[in-house]
Amino acid sequence: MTPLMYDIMVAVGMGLLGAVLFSAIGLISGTDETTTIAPVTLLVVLLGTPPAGVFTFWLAAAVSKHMTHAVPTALLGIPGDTLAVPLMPQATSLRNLGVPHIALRKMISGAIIAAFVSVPLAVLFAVLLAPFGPYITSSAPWIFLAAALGVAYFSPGRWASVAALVPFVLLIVGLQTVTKSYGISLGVSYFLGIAIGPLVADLFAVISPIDRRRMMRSAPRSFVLAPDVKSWGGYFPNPFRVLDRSQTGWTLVTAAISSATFVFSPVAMTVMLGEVVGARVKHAYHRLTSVLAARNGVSEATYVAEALIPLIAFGLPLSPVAAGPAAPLFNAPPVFTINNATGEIHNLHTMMTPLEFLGYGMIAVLLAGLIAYPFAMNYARSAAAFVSRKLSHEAIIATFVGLVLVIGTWEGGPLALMVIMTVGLVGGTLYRTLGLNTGVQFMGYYAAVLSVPTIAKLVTGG
Amino acid sequence: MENRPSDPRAAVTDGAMKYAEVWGDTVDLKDLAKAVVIGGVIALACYLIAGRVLMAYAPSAQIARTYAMLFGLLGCIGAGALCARLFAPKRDLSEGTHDDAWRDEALAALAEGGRFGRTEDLPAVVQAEMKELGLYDTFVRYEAVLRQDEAKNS
Repeated sequence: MTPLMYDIMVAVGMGLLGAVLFSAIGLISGTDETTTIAPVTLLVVLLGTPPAGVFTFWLAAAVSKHMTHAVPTALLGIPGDTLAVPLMPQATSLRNLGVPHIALRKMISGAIIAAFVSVPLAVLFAVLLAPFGPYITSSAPWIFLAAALGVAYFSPGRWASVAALVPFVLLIVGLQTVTKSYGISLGVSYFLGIAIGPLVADLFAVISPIDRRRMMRSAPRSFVLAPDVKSWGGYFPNPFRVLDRSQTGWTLVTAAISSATFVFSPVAMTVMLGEVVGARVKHAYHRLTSVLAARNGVSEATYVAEALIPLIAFGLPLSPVAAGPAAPLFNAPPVFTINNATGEIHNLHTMMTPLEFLGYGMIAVLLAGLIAYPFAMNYARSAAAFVSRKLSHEAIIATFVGLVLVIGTWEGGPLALMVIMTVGLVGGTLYRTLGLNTGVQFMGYYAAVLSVPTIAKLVTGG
Repeated sequence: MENRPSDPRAAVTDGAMKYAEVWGDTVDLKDLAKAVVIGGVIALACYLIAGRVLMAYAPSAQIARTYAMLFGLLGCIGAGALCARLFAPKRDLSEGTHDDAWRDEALAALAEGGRFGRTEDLPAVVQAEMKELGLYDTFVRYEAVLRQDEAKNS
């Protein structure tokens, strides 16, 4: 077998795994994409999967999860994850009109079309931006500082998040100094601590008699599962028939626009471009379905572009998605590294060519389109019912607690577990109380490892 | 999720509270405590035991550690499956049937935005889609009501 054939086989295999695994995870409402995709991708990297396999796994997983998280959003009326929040008003209106399955179909048909558009466009924009790469890389410490401040200001916490970056960055610098004094240097544990922070903070809160009161409920959460009607023959639906011509047009245009932007948060782009479409559709029903298709397309395209453009053009995680759910593609020591002293990059950016990113990217989207799309279209209702009836939240938490313990112990034993606990508790609490979200915290981590040494050098004159 | 004063669940005193909302969904705290212990113990045990055993067979310590992590992950999934069998979900799921009151409320909310549009101006495909869903007559009727209101007000 030629090396290329081998790489393609690995990529298809890993892509299938990512698509199947995250099609299932997406059905579980409230699972944040950062807390689920990042740790599992990290594991895939650390297990020594070849670069093409890692990339295809990640993209197939991200696109599939984005697809199936529309199921709880439309049918149960709860956002599948943070990206689905801007779609809630329209989805709820259609649910109340008695046609939630239409909301679901318009959403994911917009998403699959957008995914196919965004991969080639993101690669194109990355290639156009690549000549600026050396300049960007050499000024990375300052760019990350600016990015951390910018992302913090646009987070729900606004100025509080900006100010809270100071203690948060100091905490990371302090923890690194402590572990170094024991001869242990950690990387993955910080990511995991930040990603899993909301869970850690909630587990602490529920132990405390004072904070527990806030979380107690007298009744289980109640859901009303809406009915579903199938309206096409065969297993594979055609997205171009689910959307009408003007909806397909809007989805293509907005997806293309959002593929070019990689610094704004996907949620902000989704809201903004959704408003643009909504203002141009006159009829109330047609507006609901058009905005849903376009918004879900935009969040898909922005998501893809935000990961691909910085990865292909710079090799540095310079966007909220790249620093969050896609973080292990950039930095997963000891396999993928960004050296903070020399600025030397060793990750997918240096291991794959733009053409390879395009090829494996299309394979990933195709796999997600073959698995997650028809699955969500055909089995949405029974899948949502199965997950809510059979899979307890306790079981999901048990799985993630196990994951944290295994990866932490793997990286640095008990000391790493204490670091995860510290970063998770502080980060998770800041998220809940101040609105300092995980994206800002990831940027804060990069500011701590890249910007702080440079600033310290300037200040001390060393 | 925040407790609002209007939330009936928040008004009940601590004694009646059996459930807690953790990480976005409701759990029973006793079950949660057991699940956390089960998840932690099984996953760590799988990782540590696999690490010991593999150390003797794997060509290098690095490879042994990496494969031990894979066993640790399998342990996580196993623990999750076990907990799914042991602890029932704390969710109250009812099969929704269509409610006309909700439909009227949704139409009113849409009309509040100002621009309701005219169904007859829509392209034929969209009209056909609405007929298939049983929404065509609903919208046409509501538009007539809106026009009457407008005529009265002007």
